[in-house]
Amino acid sequence: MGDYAFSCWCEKVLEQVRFAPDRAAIARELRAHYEDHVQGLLDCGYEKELAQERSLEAMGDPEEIGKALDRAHKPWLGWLWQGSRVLVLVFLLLSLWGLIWGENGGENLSWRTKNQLSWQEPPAQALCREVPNGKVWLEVGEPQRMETGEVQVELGISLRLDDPTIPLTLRPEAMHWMEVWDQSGQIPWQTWEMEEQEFQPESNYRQGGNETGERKFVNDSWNGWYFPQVLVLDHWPEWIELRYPYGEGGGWSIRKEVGPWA
Amino acid sequence: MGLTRKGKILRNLLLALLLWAVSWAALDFPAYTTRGMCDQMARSLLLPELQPIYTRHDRPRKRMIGEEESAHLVIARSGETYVSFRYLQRGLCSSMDYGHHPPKMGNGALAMPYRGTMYVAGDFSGVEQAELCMKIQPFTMYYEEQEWQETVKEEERQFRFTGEKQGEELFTFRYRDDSLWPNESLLFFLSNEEDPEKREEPEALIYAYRNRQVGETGSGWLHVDIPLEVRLYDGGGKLLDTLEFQVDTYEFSNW
Repeated sequence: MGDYAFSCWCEKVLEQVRFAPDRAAIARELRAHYEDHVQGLLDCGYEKELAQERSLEAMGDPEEIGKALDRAHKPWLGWLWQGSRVLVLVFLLLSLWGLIWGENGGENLSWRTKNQLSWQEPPAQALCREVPNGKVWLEVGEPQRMETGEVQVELGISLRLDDPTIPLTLRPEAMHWMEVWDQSGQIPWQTWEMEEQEFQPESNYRQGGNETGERKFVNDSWNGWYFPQVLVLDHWPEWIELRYPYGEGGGWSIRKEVGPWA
Repeated sequence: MGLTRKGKILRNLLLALLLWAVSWAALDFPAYTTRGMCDQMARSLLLPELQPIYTRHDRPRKRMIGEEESAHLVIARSGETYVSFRYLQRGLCSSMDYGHHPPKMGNGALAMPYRGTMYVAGDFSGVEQAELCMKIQPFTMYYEEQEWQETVKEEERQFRFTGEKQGEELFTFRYRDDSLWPNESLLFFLSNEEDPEKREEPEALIYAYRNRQVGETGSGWLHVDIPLEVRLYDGGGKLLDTLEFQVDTYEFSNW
């Protein structure tokens, strides 16, 4: 009888609570209070039925209690909470999926982060230039005349972008479009693909792309890249210039004076 | 002490933000909007800002079994530099296509063929009509044990197409005869390239730049620059300017 009366009371309370997903928890809590109260009275020597009756009376008016609980369990807050839980679950699954199967994957993330931490700014003697979205450095080594009569020059091009959110697939595309010049004209990049050029005799495909071959980046990090290159020339370079002929004002360039051969 | 509901919401939202950042990075920073793609390209190409002047979104194509890929072509401008690039979207991954249509840049003007249409971007204010002239002279280079033997050239053909103005900065020229090529797949092109009727069509001729091993049936497709000329006219038919471009055969790739 007592239990039935409590159930009816509880039902009236829950009718007032608009956020339905919380009703079960509220019912559990109310029942716990009610049972504690009953137990307390039983311990004081009350008869069971009387203890239940008194406990139910002590619980108060179901409508008022229900309205108060409804104010505490606002539907918009409840739905927002539920939504935030779903959001966490969705992004948790998405990040797990991305880390395992994504283009960047967990391995790439850790590798890029590791490289990022070891990234060092080029030495002070490197020529530096602020460019849109980042900085470019050019290092030119001392030209060496070889026994064959050719001149070998080591170049180091470094690039650091302001924004680290560059996709791995896009890693600095600008590198493919940079040109190296000296007083005699544009110098072709030395690449492992040079032999392939014979099979592509009349094409400038992707200008900086196939012509320059696949660039081998060192320190492939989140926003820093270093591209070493060795130029082999049939003459002594008076200057070496890195040019990027795109963008506003016709692009930009960095020139390093080498001087005449001593 | 447990968190209040508001506290839990805040905690969950912060956690969701963190997980979103992890998933975005793990998916290699996918860009889903034209603006996002332009911003990524501008950063990667060291350009101050890219303003899209044309976008084309192609329906998903079957890439592999159960995998579909949709393509998003963008032609954009930064100062006097025109850039074209393509993004491919597979599920939640969306990345620049550097395999078949890598980014292309041009100062002052840009020409790029894409799925049967030549897109020519530039400052076309005052230009009312445009004509595209394409010269194609296919050849086959014969090799024997990697040594070049001879090059067999075919007769040169010229094709002219009238442009369709798409705003102040773009002309399009449809060079594909849709009645001959009802199916856009590359395999369809390759299996029909010897069809005499289709061999008179520019796209089929571009597939005819080949290298072959002597005595073998297989062949490879050569990278060759195809010369293009675009003549620009005003409303009265007066020639205003002529633009010259070189477009690689692989840019005509039908992927």
